Parts: sequence; structure tokens; C-alpha cells
Amino acid sequence: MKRFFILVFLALNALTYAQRQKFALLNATAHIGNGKVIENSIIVVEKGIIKLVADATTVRIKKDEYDTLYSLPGMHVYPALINLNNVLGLHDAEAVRATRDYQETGNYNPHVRALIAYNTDNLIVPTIRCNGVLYTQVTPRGGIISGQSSIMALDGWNWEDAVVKPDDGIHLNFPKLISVNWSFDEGLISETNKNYSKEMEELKQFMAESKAYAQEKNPVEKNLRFEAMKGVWSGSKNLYIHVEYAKDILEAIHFIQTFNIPKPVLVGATEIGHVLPAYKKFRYPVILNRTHQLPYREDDHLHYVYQLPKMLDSDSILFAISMHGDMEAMNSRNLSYNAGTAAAFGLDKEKALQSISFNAAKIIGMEKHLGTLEENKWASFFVTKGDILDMATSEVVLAFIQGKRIQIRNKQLELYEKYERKYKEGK
Amino acid sequence: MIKKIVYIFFYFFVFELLYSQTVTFPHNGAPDNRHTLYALTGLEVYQDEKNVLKNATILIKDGKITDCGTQINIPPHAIKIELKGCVAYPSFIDLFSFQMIEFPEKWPIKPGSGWNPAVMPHELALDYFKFNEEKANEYRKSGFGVVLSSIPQGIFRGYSVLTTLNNQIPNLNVIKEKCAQFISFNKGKSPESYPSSLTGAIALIRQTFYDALWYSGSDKKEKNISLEAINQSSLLPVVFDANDKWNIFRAYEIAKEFKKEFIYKTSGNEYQRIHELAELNLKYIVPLQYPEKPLIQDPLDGLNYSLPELRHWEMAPMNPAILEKWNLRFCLTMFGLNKSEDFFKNLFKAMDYGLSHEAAIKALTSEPAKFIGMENELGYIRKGMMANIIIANTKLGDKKFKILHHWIQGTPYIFNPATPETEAYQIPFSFKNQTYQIFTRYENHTLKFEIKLDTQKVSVNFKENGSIISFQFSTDKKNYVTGLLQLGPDKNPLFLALQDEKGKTTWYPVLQAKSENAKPEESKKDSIVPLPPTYLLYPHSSYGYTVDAFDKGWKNFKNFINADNQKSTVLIKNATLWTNDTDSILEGYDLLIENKKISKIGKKLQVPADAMVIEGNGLHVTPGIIDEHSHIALQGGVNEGTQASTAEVRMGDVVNPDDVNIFRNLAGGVTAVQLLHGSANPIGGQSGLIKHRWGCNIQDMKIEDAPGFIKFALGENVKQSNWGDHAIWRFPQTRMGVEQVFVDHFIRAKEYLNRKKDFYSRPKIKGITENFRIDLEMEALGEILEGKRHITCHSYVQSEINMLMKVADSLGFKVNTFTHILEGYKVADKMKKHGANASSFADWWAYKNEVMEAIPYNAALLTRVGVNTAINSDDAEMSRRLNHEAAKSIRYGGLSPVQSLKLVTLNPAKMLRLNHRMGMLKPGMDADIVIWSGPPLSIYSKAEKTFVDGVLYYDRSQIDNKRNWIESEKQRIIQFILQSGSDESPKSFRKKGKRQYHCNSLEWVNDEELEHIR
Repeated sequence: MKRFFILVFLALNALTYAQRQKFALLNATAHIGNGKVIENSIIVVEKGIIKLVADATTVRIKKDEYDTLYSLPGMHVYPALINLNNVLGLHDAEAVRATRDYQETGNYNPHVRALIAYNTDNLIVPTIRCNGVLYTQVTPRGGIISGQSSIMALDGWNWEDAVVKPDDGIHLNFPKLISVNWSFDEGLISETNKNYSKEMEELKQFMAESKAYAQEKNPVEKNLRFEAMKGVWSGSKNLYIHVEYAKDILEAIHFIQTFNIPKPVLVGATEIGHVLPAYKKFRYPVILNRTHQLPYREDDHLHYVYQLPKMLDSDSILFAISMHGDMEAMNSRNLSYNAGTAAAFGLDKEKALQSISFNAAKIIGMEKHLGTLEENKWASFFVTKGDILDMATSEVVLAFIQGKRIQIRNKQLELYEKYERKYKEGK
Repeated sequence: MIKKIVYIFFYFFVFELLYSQTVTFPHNGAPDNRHTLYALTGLEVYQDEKNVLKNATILIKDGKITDCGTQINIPPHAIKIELKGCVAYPSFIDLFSFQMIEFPEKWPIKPGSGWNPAVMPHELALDYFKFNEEKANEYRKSGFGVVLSSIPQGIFRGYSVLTTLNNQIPNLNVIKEKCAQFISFNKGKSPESYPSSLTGAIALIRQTFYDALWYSGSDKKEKNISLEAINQSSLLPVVFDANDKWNIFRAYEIAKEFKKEFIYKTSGNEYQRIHELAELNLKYIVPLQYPEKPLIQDPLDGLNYSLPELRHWEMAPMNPAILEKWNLRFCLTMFGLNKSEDFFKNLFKAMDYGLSHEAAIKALTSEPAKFIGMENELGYIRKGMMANIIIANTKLGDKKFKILHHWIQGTPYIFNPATPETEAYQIPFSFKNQTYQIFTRYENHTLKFEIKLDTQKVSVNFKENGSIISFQFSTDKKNYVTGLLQLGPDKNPLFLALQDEKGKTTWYPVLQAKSENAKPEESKKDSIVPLPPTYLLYPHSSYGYTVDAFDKGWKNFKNFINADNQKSTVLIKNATLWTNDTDSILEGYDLLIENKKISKIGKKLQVPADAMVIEGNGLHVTPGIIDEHSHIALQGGVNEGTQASTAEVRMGDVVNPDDVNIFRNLAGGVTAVQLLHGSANPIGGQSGLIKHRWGCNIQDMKIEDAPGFIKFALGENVKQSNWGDHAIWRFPQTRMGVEQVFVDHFIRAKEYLNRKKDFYSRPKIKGITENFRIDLEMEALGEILEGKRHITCHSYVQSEINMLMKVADSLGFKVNTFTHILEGYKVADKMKKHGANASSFADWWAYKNEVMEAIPYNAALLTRVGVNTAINSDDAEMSRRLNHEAAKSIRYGGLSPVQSLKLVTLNPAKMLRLNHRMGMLKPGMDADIVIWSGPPLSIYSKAEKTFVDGVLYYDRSQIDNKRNWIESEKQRIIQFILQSGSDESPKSFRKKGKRQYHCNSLEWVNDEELEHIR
């Protein structure tokens, strides 16, 4: 059976793979993404759509109806992982200013759209999809309102055909009650943010005016920023509220209530664990930062960040885990291991998977197409030799984006092979 | 016109007074030299902290105490001042003041001084001393008569000047212009960028002392007034502004090295290591500066403060008492107080918290006098001493305490007139047809004044001005009455005047007022302050051990943790052992720890008596993880970096044992780390190799007999590529320049070694004392050439890696380790040939241009070529899950699990040349051991127990309890804060933050600005 697999692999070893009309994955353990696992599964794909997901022992198939059959005993199939809240695609060498395209100047830029700066030939992207991350939410940074994110497939000729959901939401960096400042004399100082009420008033003003503008049928003059906000008010766009600290989270709840935001999502929210009794009354979805992060406070439980996903799950709060943080673009390939750490600290393994697939899809409103291995969804999934949540066993061997098989190759692998050859020949 | 006359009169008067007592000054008109003899009588005199005279007399003449005793005949020509019931103390001495030094904005650079403007031992504080009457009065009011003033900036701050606070005699108030040298770790606004870090400051101080030793020889090679000043002042006391408990230990290491004695100015947190400081027998200048009260207004505010911060707030007032109980020699300073009024408030608080009256006096008088060798003139009330005396109404510590007179050099400053007991007076009067009574009495130099309407107390404001008591009251809060009571010579009332709301004034003569039972009511006794519990946190961190501050059973924490708190014999039974000794994993084996070492490995080992037995079924045991590249647990900067080479700085000097990341590391199974200098310059500083002995002090954390290591760096950081467009002047700016930096420095180091060898081998010429100039930078580089110090070189790109190996080969040294080494896979064969080790990130890349060809297969490729390879963190977060980073080499490149585990255990031990004691589970090895819940490379496995030297420092099963304890302790302190009311509460939240260091962190730049560099 192994030989068969290899044969298929070689036959298809071309630069791009044509979209198969109809193919099936056989005998792998299918992690559906909604908590279910099918040990010996069959997954049938036709024209890029999952047509059947079932226990292989219960289904008979006719081989000649299929362009390809992948026999994958001992392997695992997972739904595409979704990398939320990330600058992936917006820079190459991050220290080089010329390659950075994620932060505009100015404080209120809801009209700025990340997707057009998303470079499908970005150097980092191929290394990410080799680890099962097949979609990313390309997200702008900076200011109070950074701009709009979009959901991109990690495959495409350019941003136009890579995008699967353009301008899915607007990103708001919520003002902080306590600011951290640095001075030559004193070093780091954390102190009450003296500009807080000013920042809040400005923000409220902006929200109120953009809301009013959205009601106006024929505005005298088009305001690009307010135009961009219309989707927030109509509910077609999420409002991603980036907020980290306990009291700021309470302020954010108040803000959401005040403006009756139709689709709010909290992003970051590292200290949500300290205000859960209040938060669970509202249960807005949350995109957590990576679990591989230090606790903010010296007193915090050593494993506070590791335990956080389990805490949210226990309170039935819809959450996803993201890789936001230091060097987040290149670190996106570690997304599954961050879910793995959540599993190590109490979260059910399948729920950990869900936090980077189905939950993420739900938050971005793509659950009809993405997030689980279910019939009528897009055939976006990947196959591994073992547990995707654990480093040692997470090697990806096959991956499909909307039914199209993508290469599990990248420049790093090529360099590896090149130098492996060098040393072998040297001997 | 009148004004002018007054002015001129005043001028002459003052002029005369000022200059009358000086012999050499000219006189305008007849000299007005006075030699009045004062006799202060009836006093309780504290001659010093121990000797008290009751009902004694002090005679003062010409600025000196001419006699003091109980049997003194007062000559008829003396002015007798009756001070019955008053207490006399020697006036206080403050050894740490910047208040009257006006140091110029434009840094003064004296011709003939040394290269670094922050080194100015030749400077005289006297040159910048400007008597400031306002500041002087604050000191006098707080009881200080003499202060030692130093220049507030610089590393070597020069000669401090000892002055009195007498404002009458402009030249006589200077007692000693070269009283003590001052040193600090903080260069202030010195125009030279070096040193930019604490480790740099330490190196500069050491080099300067070495230079002074060299300069003391008779063969002068240069003129250097800075070094001359150090040598000339070698017998003077030296005040070291340590300003933190760890800095005391750091300064003490310098003192030991150069056989010097310092007086350590502290910050008030030294109680936190009291057990160890008590061993050192040092002298201290201690501030009474307490942390600001935490702002707690709601349930979430507690998050803003860590337990150690709350605990310091609670314990700071106990600091002097703890120092006293441990017999440390200390004096107190006003330095650091926000306002001078806080001095007595804080002093009395310290006394409430246990500082004895005797110790308080000693710390303010005789001890500071002795510290600066002035005990024959200052600090005592004895015949012949300078007449610096405080007269107070009562003893120090009493809430009613106030200074009445402060005599300085025989000049009296009257703050409150001395009015001991007077008769009690009762003055009845009728006003608007109502009968009132005034009760007045002086008690303990304080006026008690009350008005009663019939028998009801009326609320009244009053103030004593000269012979008049002015007061206001109202019985209906609408119509106010103002009044005055005029007093006679015995404070007896003479006249009463009252003015009603309509402006009608009534005068009442006071005829008969004495009354035996007219005492105003006593104010209530002060409530007893509840004292906090006296435990200390070792280290001062949330997860520290608790040890009682007064537990005298052990000398340092290492003894405590080794002996008192732990079972030294541990048997782990029936576990899976990853020994690293063979390639197989041993299942169902026992491991015995005895005497800090692994003593036995085998099946079914006998259980020794008294052993802690751990059932290892299902558990995996590995050697402790070693992080080859870490910047946690450092204080005051990770980069000196201001020069292309800073080989002289040592990270081991600036270890911060309080960093919670040490404990977080332990929770990830990390037991030892190399604390590296940053990568801002080609030749960085020397490494500190530590074990995570949580709670131990700086010296005890260091790995005994660890070989020397030093950080080198290549590429973008040392070229300053990502420091912004202004950073284009420091050599090198290209990889071409980097090579030349190394060539240049090693050639100079070779020459240095030759010179040194030559110096010690050639015969000495009689009559000429010649010293070799020890150059700390060259010493470090020389050690590399001699194979005694090993290089860990930050590196990325293959070209530069190859370059450094070629430079090394040509100059005869080895590059021990290339760290980061992300393109190591391209030159693995060359590295193997050179004998270099590799210490790589598992999968980092794309953060800057030179890492664009980094691959996660690096470690696997290097390993397979035969290069000893490690995975490191350079990051406090990643450090605590290095086992998982190692596991990535199974995913990328297919190393075996045993090979992968070695990447973070045995291999780093080898490259740190510690594999004779770490990195394997083998009898005789250090018992640095991790017990994992499952296979150590699995994401699902957790470190359950971490041992260092056989001591169980981390036990996961205890963490929830510890967290609960932290929360309950915080809540106890928060309750204490709330009980104390809104008094002293700050208006807004503000506190110092903590910084996580990376390779590229610069002390003088915010990380935010550098977020794109690594």
C-alpha cells in the first residue's frame, strides 16, 4: 500500500497540480474538526467539494469513477488550519523596511485593505502551508483602527484569486487604561494612561459619526473611512477589538453594548481569565494569542496562558487560537503546536484542533465552507503521518485547497535537500 | 527712602554678623566678635546612644561644647537657658546628599584627566557646592547639622565635602573638603556613551582601580590626574552608591578584589537578603524611603501589583529594624524622601516597626561620624566636640516629638520656643449672653487650647503667634467670632479680645485664671500599629521560598535549601530513563540521588533510609535541559555594546536571582543556562554560566569551576544595520570591517601577552617600582588565545562563519560555538573540521535579511555531518519549552528522539564544557534531573519535578497551592492597605516595569523601536 502511495506521489510531482475532478482519501483517521474522529475513513471529493465523509468499512466505491484514490492507512486527515489575525504575506525580511507592508500611518484607517498588499509570492507562505495552515486572515496593524483584514487561501496566482473572503472585518486597537512608557532616566514605567479619556472620546466620536453616516442615503461627500465602516454597522463585517488586559476587556464589553456592534470579536484578550464571570454573560467570540506566550504578571499561574483555552471552553465561549505575537508570520507554521499545548493543559485534543479550524471558520463566518471535514464543504484539508498537534509527528504529506492539491515543498526543503546532497556526495 | 535705609542697615548688620567670627576677614567698623558662653540646663542629655545624663547642663562657647555634665557650675557671665524636661541629642549627620551641589549641565572635563569623563575622582564637590538656605533649613528642621555632599553624577564622583548647615559663617561651615570618595554604578549624564550598562559600569570601575595600581608605580608613562586622585585618596573612606541589594553584593566583589572597604548606600530593600549580608560585616547608609502606597480601588487593581511589590511596600519600614537585629552597622540618610517632613514620619514608622531608640540615635549621630573618621569632632555631646545639638521636647519616636532648638556650631536655630509645663488656665467670659470658658495650658512645649460653651466643647481654630494666640470659632457654623488672647512672660493670659460678626470688638482683662482642675482633655493614645508577618521571599519573587527574617539558623540560602528544606536522598523508582549514555531508553529503571549527585542507576534498587521515594511508573526521567543562549535573570542591560569590543564586561556580575523567569524555566525542565552578552558588537562580554538554584544569591547561582566563555557576534547587529539611519559611524559597518576588528584585537592581545610575559620575566630594577598595567579587555582576549576562554559567536551567514574560523586558524585560537548559526548547514563540513559546536534556533527565520536562508532542518543536517549541535532559545518564553523546540528536529530532518533530546541536554553540556557533570543520567553526574509526565519530546508532556543538585526546586503538584497562597497573601496585604484608608494613596497608578531581554536589547533604546531586530 505504501508503494501505491509513492507511485501516486511521483506521478504528480509536477510544479502545479491540476484540480482533480473526483478523488477519494481512503483508510486514514479523519479528524472531522467538530470533535468527531473516524478511525478508518473515506473522504470523497468532487469538483473541489467534499461529497462524502464516512467510515470506510461501510461504503463501497467503484475505483474507475475516480481520477485518484489515495490510500492512507495509519495517516491522519485534518481540515485546513486557519491562521487568524496575522501579518503573514505582508512582509519578507521583517527588519527590512522596504519589505514591510502591514502598518499604515495615521490612527483611523478603516478604509485600508490588507488583501491588496498580500503577496502570493511571499517567501514565508510556502513554509506555512507545509504545516497544514491553508488559510490566513491577512491583518493590518497599527493606529486605533488599523484597517480591514481578508481571508486568503495560501495558494493562488495573485491576491485576487487567493482571497476567499475579502474585507471580512475591521481591526480596532482598543485604548488601554494603563500605558507602558519608556524613558531614558527611568526605563519602563507602567502608569495610568493620561490620554485614555481623550482616546475613548475620539473613538466614540468616530463610531457615532460612522454609524450616522451609514444611515444616510446620499451623503453630500463620500467619506472613505465611514464608507468602510458601513459593513460593521450592517453586520456584514466583524469588528475585531484588540484588547489584552482585564479592565480593558470590561471596557470593551461596555463599548460593544453602547454601540450595539452586530458582530464583535475580541482579539488577544490574554487576561480574559480574570473576568470570565462577567464575560460569559455575553460570550462574544474570542481570538486568543498564541499559547506560547509568557503570563503578563509575575504572580500569574506559571501555566496561565496554557490553561486559558480550557477555561474558555469550560464556559462555552467560542474561541480560536492565533499566532499573534513576536515574528508571527514565520511562526504561523507553529499554530498546531500552540493548540497542542492547550490540549496538554486540559483541552480535549479534538477541541484543540477545532480551535484552529472549525472555531476559526465560525468566527470569520466561513463555517459553510471551511473548518470541518463535512459534506458540501470545500475540499480544504491535509494529511499527516501522525498527530498534527505534536511536533515530532506532525509531518504533512498531502494538502488540498478547495480540491486542488498543493505542493508540500518550499525553499527551505530545497535548501535542505541541496545540502544533504552536498554532504552525501562529499563522502 | 525709608526702605533704602532699612536695606542698608540690614546689609551692614548681616555683613557684620557673618564675618565677625572669622579672623582673616576684614571688618567694616568695629569688629563685633562675641564669645558668649551659653549654659543649657535641666536637660536629659544623650551624649551618645548609650550614655544619658539626667538634669544635665551643656556649656557652649565659640562653637564648641566646653563642658557637659550634671555637676557643672554655671559661671555668672553665662547666658542660662532653662530647658527643664527637654531632651538633648547630638545633631544628626547625613552622609549622602546632593542637595547643595550644583553640577553643571555641560559636563566639566578637567585637563589631565583620564579618558572617560564619568571617571572623575579628581573632582571636588566643594567646587560645585552652593549653600542653599532653603535646603539647609529643611535639613536643620529634620535634625541634621552636618551633611556630606557629593557630585550626583558619574561613576567615580570625586571628593565629597563635609559641611555644617550653619548659615552664619560662610567659610567655617566647610569642615572637610576631601572627606570621602564617592563611587556609583550610574554614570548619569556623562557625555561618553561607555558604559551604557551595569556590567559595563562594573568593568570600568575595575579597570580604573587596576589603572590606579599601575599608576602608583614610579615609572610614569602619562599624566593622569584621575588616577592620581584615586591613589592620593586611598586612605579616605569610599561611599558606594549601590542603591539595590544585589548591587551591594556586586560592589562588595569589587571591594574584595581590590582589598578596599566601602560604605554602601542602599535603597532600603537590603532586608531581602539579610541572612547573607549579615555575614559580610559591612557599613551601610540606609534611606528611609518607602514605596508609594499601592492604589487599590476595585477587585481588579490587585492585578497591577505582584506579591513581591506589595510585600516590599509592607516590609520597607521594617528594614532598619531588621538591620539592627542582625547587628549590621548602618547610618540613616534623608536621601530619597519626597519631602523633608517625611523624615521624622518615616523614622518613627521604622521605630514603630522595631527600630530601637538606641539604634536610631546611633545611626544618626555616632555611627556616621565614625564612618567618616570624624568621631572626635562630631556625633557626640561631649566636651571639646562641635556644638551641634538638638533640643527636643521629648524622646525620638514619641508622636509628640518636635525639635525646639537646633544648635549648629554654637549657633542656635529656634524652631519652637521651649515652653515646658505651665499652669493650667481657665478663663471664663460671657459673650452674647452666653457663658464660655477658655482652657489653656502648655504641656510638653505644645499649646493646648479649648473653648467650652457651658460644658460643650466648641470647635476652634487657633494659632500661636509670638505672645498672641489667635483663634476663631462659631457656635452655629454661620456667624464666626475671631479672638485673641495675649500672654505674659510666664505664658499667663493678660487680655482677651473678641470680635463678633458685626465687627464689634470686646476687650476683657483676665484677672484670675489659674485653675487646678482645668486641664484640657488628653488626646487619645496612639493605637498600636499592626506589624506585618516577618517572612522574607527567597528570592524576592512571587514563587520564592518563605524564610523568617529573624531565623538565624543558617548563613546563606544555599545552606538553607540544601540542609533544612530538603531530603538529600531521592529514589525515583521504576521510571523510563533517557540517560544519553547509550542510544537506548531504559524502561523500568530506578535512579538514586545522593549527596547532590546521581549515585546509582539500576533495577530494583534498595530504598535507603530517609529517602524521598518517587513512584516513576509512566514517568520519564531526563537530564536537566541546558539553554546555551539565554538572557533571562540579568539586571541593568544585556549589551554594553558601546564599543566594537567590550571583552572586559562580565554577565556573571549582573545576574538577577529574583527573575521569575528562572522559576518558569525550572517549570520547563531547564536547570542550567549560559547568560550571554548581547550581539550589539563584534566582541561582546563574558558569559555567566548559572544553574537555576532558585533562591540562591548571585555567587551561588554560578556554576562552580565553569570554564570561561565570551560572546562574539557577526552580521547585521554588529554592523548596526537595523539601528536606524543615524547609526552609521561606529566601525564596523560591513562584514569586511568585522573581520578587521577581530584581526586587530587578537594581534593586540598577542602583543599584550608578550608584554606581560616579558614584564614578569625580566629582572626588576632596584629603586624603581614598576607595575604591569592589567587591561581587562586584553586579559579576556588573551585567555581565548591561551585556550582558557571559549567563544560563543552569534552568527547567521555562511561567509562570516567561515571568515571567523579562518581568522581563528590564522591567529591560533578556536571558535568554540557558533550560536544562532542559521546557515551553519551550509558550512557544516568546515565547522566540523575547525572543531566548532553549533547552537541553533529550531525554526526561526525571516525576521531580518541575514536569516532569509535559515532552515528548520539546520540542526538535523549539522548533527548528521558530525557537528555537536544544540537548540537554544534567546528568549524567556521559548526557554521554558526547549524540549518541544528540540522535537522539531524530528519533524524537520528526521533526527531520532534520543538525538533530539541531546540537542537540549548533552550537546549544550558538551559545548559549555560541562559534560563531565551535566547532560547525562550516569552515576557521578550532578543530580540535575527532570521527571516528565510522559515522553519528554511530546507536546503533551509536562515537567513534573525538576531537581538541581538533587534539590527539588520545582514540583508541579505544589503550584496550585503556591498560587492560592500568593492570592491569599496578596489579599491580606490589600486588606491592610484598605484598612489604612485613603491616607497617602496615590492619585493614579504608576510603577516601574520589568524588561525581558533579547540579544539585541540595548539599554539606551526602547525595545519597541527595535522590534524588527533579533
